[in-house]
Amino acid sequence: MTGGTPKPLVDVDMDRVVQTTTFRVFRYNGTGDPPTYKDYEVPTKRGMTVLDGLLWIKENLDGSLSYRASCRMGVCGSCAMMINGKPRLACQTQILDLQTSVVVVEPLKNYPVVKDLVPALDQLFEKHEAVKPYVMRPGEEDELENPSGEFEQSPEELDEFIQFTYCIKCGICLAACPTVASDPLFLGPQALAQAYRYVADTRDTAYAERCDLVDTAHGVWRCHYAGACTEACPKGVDPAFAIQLLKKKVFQHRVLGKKRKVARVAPKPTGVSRRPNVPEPPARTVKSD
Amino acid sequence: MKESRFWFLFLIAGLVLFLLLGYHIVFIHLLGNYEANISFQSVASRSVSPAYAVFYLLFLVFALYHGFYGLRTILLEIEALARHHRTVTAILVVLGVGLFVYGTWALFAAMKIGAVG
Ligand code: FES
Repeated sequence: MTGGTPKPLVDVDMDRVVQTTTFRVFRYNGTGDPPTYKDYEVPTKRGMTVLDGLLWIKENLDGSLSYRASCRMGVCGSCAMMINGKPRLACQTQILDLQTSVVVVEPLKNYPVVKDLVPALDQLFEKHEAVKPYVMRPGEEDELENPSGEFEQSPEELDEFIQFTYCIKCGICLAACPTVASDPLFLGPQALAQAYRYVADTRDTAYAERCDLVDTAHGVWRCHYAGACTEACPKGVDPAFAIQLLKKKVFQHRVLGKKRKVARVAPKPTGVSRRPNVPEPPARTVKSD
Repeated sequence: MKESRFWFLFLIAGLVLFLLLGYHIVFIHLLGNYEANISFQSVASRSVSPAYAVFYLLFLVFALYHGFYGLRTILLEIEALARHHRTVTAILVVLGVGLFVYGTWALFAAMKIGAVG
């Protein structure tokens, strides 16, 4: 580590400030006291995001402000919050794009609040986990543990679900969903879109099991296609579309008894050998029991 | 029964209602003389017809199912009731069956009155 003053996280060059923005921030101390709103004046330059504004407040005005953030580039999904009434990623929302001098920042709706802008995301992860979001091949666990080859999947089969793999688990879709707002047991757009992602994946053979998981009183049929999740999703995942496709798959399976194609392990190529300059794969780092 | 089957029946019930209501609107309201179609004589003559009895019975069954499934959906989305979906479903089934019995009784009563009238 080199000495001297650490570089600030947000360096606001006062010559380039184009407006002073009032950040009206939801403050809650996590002890049950009623929440309040506190105003902070933030010098704003072009390109500055709401997350930059919060970082600037924390560094310069109020170190007690709590929020989540990590990557600052719309990848980790940590910085989801309500910004002027809409659920968004703070790191992808430029202050000047909001075209207002007052930015109201609140924690995501439909989640309990831990402190200030930090929501408790337990329901997001519990619902996600409930749909078993991983490739399952009942009866072929050994093949998954010690693969003998690749599963054959065509580009067209991949296209059926690739869009839904872009979910970053930010939780914005649950904050936008009107059904989640009133029915706490509804699986919600994130989990249902991920259920579709695996139901449509030909490498997965637990089609029936996953259909059962979502074919419940609080499952896929409770989506009324408000489309708010798709409107809010910062990654263009389109969970509302995934849910309609999932309804179709469950219907085909449950009511029409339709089977889905299953990817097989591609046979090893014969009569070929590894090129001399291509190294062998490294040894496994994860030991199976 | 799995939710998908309830939901599928709900769609089927909606479709059947559309056809039955369509028939009712065309033949009672749009064709012929509306005043005459709803006169006591006309209603009494329809109520003794076995074809109309089947029509009303189907209408009763599908309207009750469609309506009560919709009501269940609304109730299950109320936070306080969401965790009690079996109880909510059981109460609605009892209510639905009760209304079906009452409707069927009314239908047979109307047949009797029609036969006398
Ligand atoms: S900080 Fe990672 S998505 Fe915003």
